Amino acid sequence: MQRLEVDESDRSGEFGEELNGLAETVQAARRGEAEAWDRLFERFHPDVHAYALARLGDWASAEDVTQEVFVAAVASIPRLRDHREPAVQAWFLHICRHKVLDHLRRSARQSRAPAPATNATADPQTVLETRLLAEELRAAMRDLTEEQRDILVRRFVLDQSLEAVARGTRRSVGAVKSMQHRALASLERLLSEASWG
Amino acid sequence: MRSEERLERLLAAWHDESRRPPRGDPRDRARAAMHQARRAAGTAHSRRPWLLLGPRPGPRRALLAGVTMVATAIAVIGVLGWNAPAGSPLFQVRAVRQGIQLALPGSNAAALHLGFAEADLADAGRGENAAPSLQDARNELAAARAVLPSDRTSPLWGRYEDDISSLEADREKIEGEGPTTPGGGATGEPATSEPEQSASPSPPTEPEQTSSGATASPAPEGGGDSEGSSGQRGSGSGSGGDG
Repeated sequence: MQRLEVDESDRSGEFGEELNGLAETVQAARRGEAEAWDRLFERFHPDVHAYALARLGDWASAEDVTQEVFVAAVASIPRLRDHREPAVQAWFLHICRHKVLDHLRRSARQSRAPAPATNATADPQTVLETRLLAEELRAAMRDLTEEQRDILVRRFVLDQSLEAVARGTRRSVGAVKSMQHRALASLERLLSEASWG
Repeated sequence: MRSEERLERLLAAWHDESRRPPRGDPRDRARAAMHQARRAAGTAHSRRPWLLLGPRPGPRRALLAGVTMVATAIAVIGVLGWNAPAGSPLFQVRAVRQGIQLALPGSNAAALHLGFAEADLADAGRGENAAPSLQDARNELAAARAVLPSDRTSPLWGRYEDDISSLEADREKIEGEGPTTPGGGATGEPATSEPEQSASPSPPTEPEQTSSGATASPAPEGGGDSEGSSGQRGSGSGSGGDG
């Protein structure tokens, strides 16, 4: 199983010196400079959006949550101490995770039909099939713990390394590995039961 | 299909669906909302009181502001009361300062009391609360008399006698001008232990509490010589560590 036996070598350098000026960008953002916020938005919006969409499965909700994340980031950036990229990304995802949970609590009270994904360039049949498969996985993931879901998004949607997930979730690498293993085993069992049932 | 293979397929679909590029309009709205929040935060920051420095006011900053204000108030009171004349509301500050000077190790109590008395005489000469200043000068001279060296040739004795003469001269001058203190007795006429008016200045004989906290003891014998009655504040006011 190629995807589950994750090759760490292709992820080892992903947080290198890609954005040398990120610390300066964060400092400028703390001073309220518009250009700095634009740079942060460009850099981290895709990750935040992907995290929200992976968790919620609904484009409209994911877009709402993504917007809430960047608004909340403006207020909480004075508390961001570490200005290196992994820490800044972890900070955005931390806010995003809380916003997702807030959204799920709200939507549990008022159900909203998922908005269909629109992508003019993709084949509608492929889009629909992908969506159904993803929805099946999300349904199975409801039986996992919140921490397991969080780790699976970081590992299999954001393609983060074990080390990056460990930093972002403030756990040891061993603990992340163990949680991932248990989560995948649970998903396999759940999918197997579903296919037999 | 094996469950492991199926899980792999589902994870791939999940990845692909979640990683599709965000739609343009919602993305632009999110960016606009972020900038609106940024502008609002900047406005709120600029409206913050100057004492609450930094990005976020909190208990520590409020405490810092409070401590700063109290320290500033204490400093202002200290500066204003440093040389406040006797009878003024801030005279207690000066009395405390003089008490500290006397308590410092190695201080010359006689010289300090004489200095305090001369400062009082200078205040009275300038018309600043003349009666209370003369009263305090009297008390300081009594305290000085109690600790003057037994050697009558000491220069401190000369200062003391000059100050006694000045005290008498000022008292007479103020008495000549009539009462100036509303409601009280005659100005320059202390209620207790008034120095004798004679060519030989004699110190106050009753122990009294001075502004600097020392208790003046009765004058020892032999203090009533007639030497050095110059009638001037020859030693210079404010000397002896005052000011």
